[in-house]
Amino acid sequence: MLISLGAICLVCAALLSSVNAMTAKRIARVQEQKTERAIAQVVPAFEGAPVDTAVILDGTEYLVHKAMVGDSIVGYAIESVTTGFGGPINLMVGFSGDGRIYSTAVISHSETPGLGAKMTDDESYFRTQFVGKKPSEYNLAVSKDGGDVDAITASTITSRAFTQAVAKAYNVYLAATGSSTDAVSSATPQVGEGENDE
Amino acid sequence: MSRIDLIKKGLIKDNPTFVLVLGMCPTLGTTTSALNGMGMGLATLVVLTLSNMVISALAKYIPDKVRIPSYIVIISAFVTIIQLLMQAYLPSLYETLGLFIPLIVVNCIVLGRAEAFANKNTVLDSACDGLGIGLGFTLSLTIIGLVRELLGSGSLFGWSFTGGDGILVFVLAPGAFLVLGLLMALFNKLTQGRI
Repeated sequence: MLISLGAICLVCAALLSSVNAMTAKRIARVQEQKTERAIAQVVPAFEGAPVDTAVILDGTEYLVHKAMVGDSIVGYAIESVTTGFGGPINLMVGFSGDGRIYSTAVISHSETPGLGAKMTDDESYFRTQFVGKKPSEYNLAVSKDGGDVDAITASTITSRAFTQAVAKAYNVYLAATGSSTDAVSSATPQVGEGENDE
Repeated sequence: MSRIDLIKKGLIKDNPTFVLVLGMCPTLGTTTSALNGMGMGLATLVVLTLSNMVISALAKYIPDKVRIPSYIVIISAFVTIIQLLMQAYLPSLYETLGLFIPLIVVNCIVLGRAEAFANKNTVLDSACDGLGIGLGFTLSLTIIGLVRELLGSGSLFGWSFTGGDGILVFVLAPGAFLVLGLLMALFNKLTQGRI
């Protein structure tokens, strides 16, 4: 009895570890490609591979992907994570050089299909309302919380989490650029209020 | 019973959702749209057929006292292998189905068929049984998903024709119970006296 159950467990464990060893590399590559695609989606056209720098903000490490054309930076892609209705939402937020939101891409989420999952629709009003906005002049909070963002119908929690992820990415963007360019970092004081009361 | 009958009985007579009322958790949870329902059904179909075959082949070597833990280990190993392979080689399919795959382990249809059929029948019969029950499950989930999507989001298989929202409650959990209950009543009415 013990022997046969032990044998089954042993065979299964061996099978699983060999399949894992076989696929681990490919799965990591697929994940990388996904991130690369998300970066390309949220910043203006760039040359070569994005340059990554790590920024630590509030004890969390963020990767800032800088999109370059020649020697100048044309955009920043920053991944930020917040908790939505069904679990974590991984969002890639892109900023153009002048501090405007260029675009956003949802990398992974587990929101309710038909409700919160509508945020994955790139063409929807909820997503396009962020494009071109300068967070320093735009209150990044849903209208229910007194902000300028219109939430998805019946999905306030998702919309709030999404907006929060954008705000988080913007803070990282400010931290990342603050050290190199003075022009953008001077915008910091104006940002504070609206987005920190989340 | 011929093998064709084994496959056919899963569709109507032993329909896992409307007659056996098994695997309600994934049924209620994943049928927010027709495509989601179909995806969950197909993923279960594959696991069910494979696990039925392996369990029927191994049945005579597994002592009675430890059969349930053995089945669970076999089923979860299968599910994990399929998940890893899909993640590595079919990433786009994994994006749609990924959420449902770990749920298959806790689907009592898979364990139920191992216990009720696979451990006392031949490998080929067990495969047919898995295929039939799997098809019945896929069909039921697709129908539930179709109704919920139609009423809840005003679309069919992701193709929207209303341009607006539907009756939101049908996408949420209460709508799942309502649709399942009404469809079960309809199913019983249509098959009355014949099963």
